[in-house]
Amino acid sequence: MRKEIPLAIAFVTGFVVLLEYFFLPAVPASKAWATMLQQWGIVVSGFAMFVAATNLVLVNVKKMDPKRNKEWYNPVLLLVFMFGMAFIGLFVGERTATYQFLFTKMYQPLGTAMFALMVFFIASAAQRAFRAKSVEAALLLAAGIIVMLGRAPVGELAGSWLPNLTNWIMNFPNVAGNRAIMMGAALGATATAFRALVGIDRSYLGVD
Amino acid sequence: MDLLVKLGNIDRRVIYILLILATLVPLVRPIGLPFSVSEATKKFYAAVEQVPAGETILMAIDYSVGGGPDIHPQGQAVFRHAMARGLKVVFVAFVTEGTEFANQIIAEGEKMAGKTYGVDFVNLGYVPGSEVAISAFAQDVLKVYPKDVRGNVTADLPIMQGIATVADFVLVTEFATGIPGPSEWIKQVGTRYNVPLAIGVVTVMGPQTTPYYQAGQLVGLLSGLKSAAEYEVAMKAPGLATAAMDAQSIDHIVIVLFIILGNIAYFAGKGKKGR
Amino acid sequence: MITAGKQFVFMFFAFMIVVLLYRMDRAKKGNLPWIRRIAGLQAIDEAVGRATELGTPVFYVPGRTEINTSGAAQTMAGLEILGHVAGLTAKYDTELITAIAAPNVQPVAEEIVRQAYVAAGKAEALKPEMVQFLSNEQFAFAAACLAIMNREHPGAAIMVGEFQAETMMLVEAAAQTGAITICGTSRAIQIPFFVAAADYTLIGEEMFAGGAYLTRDPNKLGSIAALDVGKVLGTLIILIGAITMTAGNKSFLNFIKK
Repeated sequence: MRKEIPLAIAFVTGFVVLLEYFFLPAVPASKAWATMLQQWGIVVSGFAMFVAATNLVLVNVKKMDPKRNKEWYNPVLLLVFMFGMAFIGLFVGERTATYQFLFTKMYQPLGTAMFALMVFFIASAAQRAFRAKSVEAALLLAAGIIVMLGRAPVGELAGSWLPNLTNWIMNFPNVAGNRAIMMGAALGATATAFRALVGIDRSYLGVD
Repeated sequence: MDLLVKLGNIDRRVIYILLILATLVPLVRPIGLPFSVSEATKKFYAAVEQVPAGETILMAIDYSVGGGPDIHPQGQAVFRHAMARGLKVVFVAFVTEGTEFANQIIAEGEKMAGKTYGVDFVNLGYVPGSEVAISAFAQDVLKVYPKDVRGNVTADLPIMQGIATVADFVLVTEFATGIPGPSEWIKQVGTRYNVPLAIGVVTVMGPQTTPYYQAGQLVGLLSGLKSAAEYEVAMKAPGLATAAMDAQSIDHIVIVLFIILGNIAYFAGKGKKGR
Repeated sequence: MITAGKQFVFMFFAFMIVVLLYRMDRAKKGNLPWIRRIAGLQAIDEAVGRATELGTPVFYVPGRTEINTSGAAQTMAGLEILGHVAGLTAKYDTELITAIAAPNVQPVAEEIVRQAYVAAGKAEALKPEMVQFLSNEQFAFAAACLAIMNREHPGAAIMVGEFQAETMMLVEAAAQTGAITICGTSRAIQIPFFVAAADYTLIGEEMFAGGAYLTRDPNKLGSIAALDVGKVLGTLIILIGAITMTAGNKSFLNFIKK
């Protein structure tokens, strides 16, 4: 039953949502069923957050032992901030100065700083790996440079040809390649979803 | 030759320092490089411009703090435009931090003369469930959001009168740094409801989103800080995004120079080996 | 009967289901389709073996996407490969660290790892650290992954699923710690980053073929063959559409819009 019940839930859920998507005029009630299932999905997602947070606490409580972990203070900090932020958000209020301070003066700059680090990773990787080793690599390199300059205001100083060329690269070769990958990915997703819905593929339940 | 090879293998910390300078100096001393407004931005602007005054639009703030600096100016610019045009704006979020970014935009709105929370704008907040939640929201707005972030009953708010499904918004705008993003909104809203959809994304997502815009599934597309700057120019109200454009230009030049230098060193090294 | 505007989509969908069932049935009868050698998948055993020899953990990330979004298929492909990797780490008594960003992937990944260890007769070796939820915030997750990699120095870092801007950080950090890196995604904008920095990359559909390739399951192999039929049909639709529209004839466009 451990396998049959989840498979039945997956099948019924998928069937109802597809029914509503394709056959709404024939089965008007499917709209209400699909809405209800989707709302259950929201509730389940909320609980999944709780399950994930429990795992985070369990793993980090174990790591707080100074005898076994030299960096025992890191999990302590993590849990203090996690519970602190949750407590302030839930009981003090999201519109209070304390919450706003934590969000705008700590969380936001930290996240932004991590994102900003990307430029350094990309610059050093580009300098190391972006070499015209073959005709294809040279074409990629030329296209990369044109788009980088053409997408920034400085590109317009060279005249309208550079932004126009950039737009051409973005609108034709780029779109063609992206569409091909999208098509393959969409078909792959359809096949995976179908296998899961009809119970042929049960790997998501931990069994082959 | 040796010097060229050495330059190609330059310590990455030198690159980092030069990049920091290339960002900071133009921010402190702007050059004011001119730039034109792209067609995709013009269409996004036109989509907001065409909404009759007094009508309600949706702004879904689905961005995380990481990509915030690249996309938040887009959200701010579109909101200012909507307010200037006398539109009403409903904010929702399907990414946790989206609620707070919407609050930040609304804080600006509350300082505007004659604009009131609950009448001209409202923040309905975050709902978990990603694409499933978007689909449920699209079908029944009030069921998914019985209350707003301030605890008001959504159905009682003046701005929410006449809003039952996503099709009741005259225009739907979505701003995303990842997932949920364009693909989810196009699938759950754009193709299922007869409502125009305009999307703003971070720069790196631009190429991936362009096929949807080209296929006519989006009425407008903003891509990163550059588009935000273009939107500000279209509104004739230059702001922070416009000011950051010089820094972006110089950064791009520095990276391109290092790529060229790396290639010169590569070929110089190859020539040396060949001899 | 079918919702207006979705009739063609339904026809395509129904056709694909029929082809899928047919190809799966053929595969079950022994007509297994041939799949070319995929270097990234071949390298998984070697990478886990290397981590075992070095006495270091295997670091695994099944993408960053929830299981109920359009990226779910990529997450599921990542989870399928996780099952294979967990089977190997259980067999060789190698430490496994799976980093999770999406809350609803956590219980699924836990169950997959648990089943793999039970199947290998190593249930006693299971630990909660094997599947860790880190954060659903993009860069908090990336920072936590970087910290784990710097602390644990994994011998192999395998990242398969849907990723976003954090790709470059994750793969560069793994490379800097000396790990063999095997990465895969069908998210077009992230593929270049993986190709530039990883040892092996599963591009687009290669990752969807992962489960079939590693398990040799006839159903999965059959569905891979069906995808090719879908691609040929999709290409034909694009070609007919392009030709008719260029000729100024909108009848085909109107047909697919039905």
